[in-house]
Amino acid sequence: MRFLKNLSIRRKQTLIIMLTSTITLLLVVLAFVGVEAFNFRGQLTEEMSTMAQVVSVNCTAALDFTDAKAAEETLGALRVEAAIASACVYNEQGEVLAVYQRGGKSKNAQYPPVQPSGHQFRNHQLWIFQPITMQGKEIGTIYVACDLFELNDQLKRFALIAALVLGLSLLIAFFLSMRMQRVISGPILQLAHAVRTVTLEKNYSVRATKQSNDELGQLVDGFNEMLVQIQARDLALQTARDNLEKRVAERTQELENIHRQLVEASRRGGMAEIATNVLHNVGNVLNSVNISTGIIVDRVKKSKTSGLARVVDLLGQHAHDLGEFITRDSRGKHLPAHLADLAQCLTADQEAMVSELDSLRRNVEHIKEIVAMQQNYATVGGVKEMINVVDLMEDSMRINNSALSRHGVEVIREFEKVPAMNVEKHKILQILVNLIRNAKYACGESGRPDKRMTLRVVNGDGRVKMSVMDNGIGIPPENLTRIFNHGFTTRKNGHGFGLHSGALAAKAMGGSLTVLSGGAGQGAAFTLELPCPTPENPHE
Amino acid sequence: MALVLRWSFCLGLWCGVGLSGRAEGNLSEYQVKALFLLNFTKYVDWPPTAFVGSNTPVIIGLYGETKLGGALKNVVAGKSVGSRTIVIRQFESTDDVSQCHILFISDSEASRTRGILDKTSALPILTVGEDPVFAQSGGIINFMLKNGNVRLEVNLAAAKKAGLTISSRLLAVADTVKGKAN
Repeated sequence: MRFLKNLSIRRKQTLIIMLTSTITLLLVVLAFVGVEAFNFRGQLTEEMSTMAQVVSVNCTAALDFTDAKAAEETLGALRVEAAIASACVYNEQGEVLAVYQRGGKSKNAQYPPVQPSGHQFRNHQLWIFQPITMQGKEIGTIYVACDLFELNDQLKRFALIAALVLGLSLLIAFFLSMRMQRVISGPILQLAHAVRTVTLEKNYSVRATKQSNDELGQLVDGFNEMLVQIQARDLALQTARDNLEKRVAERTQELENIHRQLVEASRRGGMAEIATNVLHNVGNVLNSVNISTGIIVDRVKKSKTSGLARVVDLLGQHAHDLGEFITRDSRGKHLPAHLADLAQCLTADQEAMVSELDSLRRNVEHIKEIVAMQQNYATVGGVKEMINVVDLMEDSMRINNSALSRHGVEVIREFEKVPAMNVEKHKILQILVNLIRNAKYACGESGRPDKRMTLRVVNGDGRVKMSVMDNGIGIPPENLTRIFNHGFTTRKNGHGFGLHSGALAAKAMGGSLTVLSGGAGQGAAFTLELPCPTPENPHE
Repeated sequence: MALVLRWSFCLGLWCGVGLSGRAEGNLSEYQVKALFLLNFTKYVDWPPTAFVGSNTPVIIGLYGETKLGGALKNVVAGKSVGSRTIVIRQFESTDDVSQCHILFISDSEASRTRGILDKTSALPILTVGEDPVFAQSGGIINFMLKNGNVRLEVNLAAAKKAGLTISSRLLAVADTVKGKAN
């Protein structure tokens, strides 16, 4: 029964129909054969009984007068029936009086002992015992043995016909079943096809066609209903997903706006910082300028010019006796020495003022430079230019220079040679200035005498690393993770924006801003890493 | 069942053989003749005038000295022909023979046979003899001895004359003899 399970519905149905037909037909044929055999036996028995009766009537006299010869002659009439193999007549005492053998007498012929009236099928023969009566009295018995070959022949003939009919019926049944099983298998196959289409193509819009109003029709209806529900659910899901996408897009837009605002704020903040730096530096230099100006003013105020004017006035009063005055007058006698002193003083003043003026000029020059640099960097962002980051490092240093020297921070430069990079200069500068300022602050806070800052530029692995390292107050580990967070600061007047925007900017440029610190008091190292074009792909 | 059948079969076989042997040995010539005399009543039809009524007995007459009488008595004992009883009578003269229906004439009366037949030939009497020329002489049925078996001879003309009808079945087991019918 197992193989049956793996057959297709079509085959299964055909097989079942054929099996049923075969068994039914076989049963019918067997019944017919049985009935036929039974009827034939009954008919044969009747015929032979009649024959025996006829012969028995003719045997009475022979029995009554014990005439074996006459009896044998009478029995000879059985010759007309070829099926009769043998026959005999028993007398009243059961002795065999006369015998008959088909095809002549045979010595070893045997006859059963006499039996009461009746028939039996024995040894493929029909035995008939028919009493011979004379005037109501039994005077003997006739025995007739009839071969059943005719029956067997007839059965064989019948079996042949039955086999032919069976074969023909099965053939017709086969073709009929092939056609009629479509009524059942057709809708099932169609349904299976629809299911396969749905499964393989994920196409839920297909529908199976209903072909009948039976259970298969209900199945098709149920299947279609299921597809309708799936489609409805798909639609609902799709709608929900679309809504979600729209909401995500809206949120993204909002976030982008905020981001843009933040970046703008950051840029403004950065610019404000640079401006503060510039003002700070300019203020510092202006201090020097002020001092220089004060000194010059003092010098000019305290200038011996009035002494010289008095000498000139004195000389004017004594213009007539100038020789005498110089030689005789007590005051006149000192005049040459005084003039010499005066000359000396004026020369010293001149020298000092020249020096101060020079310093002043340099300071003004410095201010000019700072302003020029500020103008240089405060330009609108987003413009890229080919630049060497070492120069940027130096510029950042210069911007913080005065503060660094004021705090007595030693600066160590470890610059490797790096190629010029196409970068947004002001962004990098902003970050570096911020880092240097933070380092300076950290050094200042530490209060240690050997304040030191190391600036390092390393070129390697397609990336340029710019590090600002200090030996200042360091960063406790708990702060390392949030040092780049927006609003995080350790300074009283800090706004916690510099590192955050610096990290964002570094990321925007395809690089990163990272920090390393051994902990509080262990100093810190900030590294700005940027992608650098390699000789293989210089356009990067 | 099969065993029972087989046992009954064997028993039957043994009995049959036993009966056969005893019958052959024991039935004497006169016993056979007595049996045959009785059997003639089945195959011969008498005219209605032969019997007074429906219950009139069948009379078998014996003429002359013969051993048949004893045997016949045994054979007939308790037998009847239809509703008729069977009576055996010994005749010494021809005076009363007209009463009987079957008359057996012993071969001891061979010399007187003609005279007896002359008296009975017109009467519905079945004359039976055992003289080789009995039938030719006008007797109706004659017992012949052939190879130790008793065989029959029938004179149909004589039967016709006596008004008797002899069944063809009897004729089938008998030789017919053409003889005078007296």
